[in-house]
Amino acid sequence: MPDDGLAPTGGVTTEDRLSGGTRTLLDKSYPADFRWVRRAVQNAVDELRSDEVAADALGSVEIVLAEALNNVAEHAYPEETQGELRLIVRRRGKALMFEIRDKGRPMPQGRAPMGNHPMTEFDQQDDMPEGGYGWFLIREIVSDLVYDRRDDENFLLIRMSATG
Amino acid sequence: MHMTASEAEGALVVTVMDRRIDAAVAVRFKDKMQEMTGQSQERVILDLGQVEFLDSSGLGAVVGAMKHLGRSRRLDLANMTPTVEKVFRITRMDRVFRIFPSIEDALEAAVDA
Repeated sequence: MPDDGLAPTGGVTTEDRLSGGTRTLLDKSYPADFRWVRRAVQNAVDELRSDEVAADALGSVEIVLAEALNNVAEHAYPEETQGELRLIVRRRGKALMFEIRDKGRPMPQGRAPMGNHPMTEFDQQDDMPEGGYGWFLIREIVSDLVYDRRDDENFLLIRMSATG
Repeated sequence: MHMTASEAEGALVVTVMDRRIDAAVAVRFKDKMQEMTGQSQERVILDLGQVEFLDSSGLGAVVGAMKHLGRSRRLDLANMTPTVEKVFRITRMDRVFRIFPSIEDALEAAVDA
């Protein structure tokens, strides 16, 4: 992904200069459940819309964040535990960088899922799977994704373009 | 989950009034679809014109609603907004469902075309 790293003319703030052009648009923790995931996704999309990210790119961001955060809400913590997740949104030029953190279980096999299409094995309408499309969507939209685990914390780093 | 149903030319048109069908409401959406389409023997057209966002849970719930209608009753989709359309296109569900630009287009189309 090209990273021009250039601030738009006339729009350079003190924060831009201090951080080499990378701006943090959102850094917030939320309870790891579906209701709060919705809020987190909307917070991120609202910030990016204010930052003049194009509608088509915003749609892709919304899909990817919803799937990645719902995955944390669904799988990271044991059922009775009220876990937390943290979403950080940064922008550098046309590059959007998302960091999703949680202190739940590691990903299976310590890797982010490959996200195969769940329908590869169905042959009848009655058998069509009703789930499993989440990671497929993430992988189809995002080419730049890193999963890491450090000090009992999961890090999912996703990079996308602000121009679609 | 707010949804309304209306009869039109041999079809039951179900309109989702909420702006999102996501993981927070997917189960309720599916239950409501079953409840609303239970009496009808007609084709069902799902009007997604108000829905700005649908995630994989919402997609799964639409698939579930289609499966629940069985082979005799068809579920068609209409009026999709851009991000919802994107989810159907990327997952190739646009080849599983018939998707119409508007309710009028859906009503004009033959049931088995």
